[in-house]
Amino acid sequence: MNNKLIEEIRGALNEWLKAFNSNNVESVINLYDPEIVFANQSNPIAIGIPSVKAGLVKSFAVKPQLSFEEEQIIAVNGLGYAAGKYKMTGTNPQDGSLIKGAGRVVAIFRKNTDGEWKLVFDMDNRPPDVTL
Amino acid sequence: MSKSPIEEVRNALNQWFDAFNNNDIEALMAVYDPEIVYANSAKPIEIGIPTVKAGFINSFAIQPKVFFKEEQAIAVDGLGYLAGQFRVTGTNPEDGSKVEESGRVVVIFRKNDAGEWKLVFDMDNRPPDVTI
Repeated sequence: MNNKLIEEIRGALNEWLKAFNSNNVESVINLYDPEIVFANQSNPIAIGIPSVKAGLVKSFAVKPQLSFEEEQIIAVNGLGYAAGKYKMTGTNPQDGSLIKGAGRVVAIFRKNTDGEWKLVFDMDNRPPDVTL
Repeated sequence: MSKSPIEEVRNALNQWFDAFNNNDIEALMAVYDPEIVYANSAKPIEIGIPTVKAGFINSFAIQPKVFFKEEQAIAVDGLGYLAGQFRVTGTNPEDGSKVEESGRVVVIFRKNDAGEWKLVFDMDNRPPDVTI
């Protein structure tokens, strides 16, 4: 197990979480690989940065906040991933009510030619063992 | 001439399909990494071969067959993945009725010290755009 690479993947995911929780679309988009595939449980597949960006803009209407609990992480030179549980909270912009969600996610990162880890695949589901 | 990592990962997944479609539990388990994490959308997470094996023994009661349509494939030396749509068909052993479900899946393979690609992470979900 390459601990340096694993820490790099954790760092890339934490950077993504920080950008997401700031609800800053441009900061989040900067962390994506051009070939990003977003395989969300509730929406049709989104392929490529423009499609993913459009979804994020909609998602940020509820000012979402995400937390992540790691269950598996593996990395080699050039490719690595983290999988685990997530919880999300947000605010309904129409009535101010609290929105909650939880599930499991895998985030796969690929290192580009500049040596930066970029998110290239993101899938989530809603299994029965992940609760709010 | 040696095959590319993507071709090797596709071969490993085809090995998994052959074992699954033959409902051969021992051949199927031979494709798994000892650290397998199976993140199915309909049941709690399964970690390690004994737990995954128990789940598949139950699944084989319907004599399932799986079909797959690839949507993304990325691999480097040592780690690679395939993502796409799947459809499983089977037969209810109690009344002979057809069982069918479909969704999206990602499978991540890791190369072991013997140079064999083994399935180390498997997640699926049930999005609205699956057409297979």
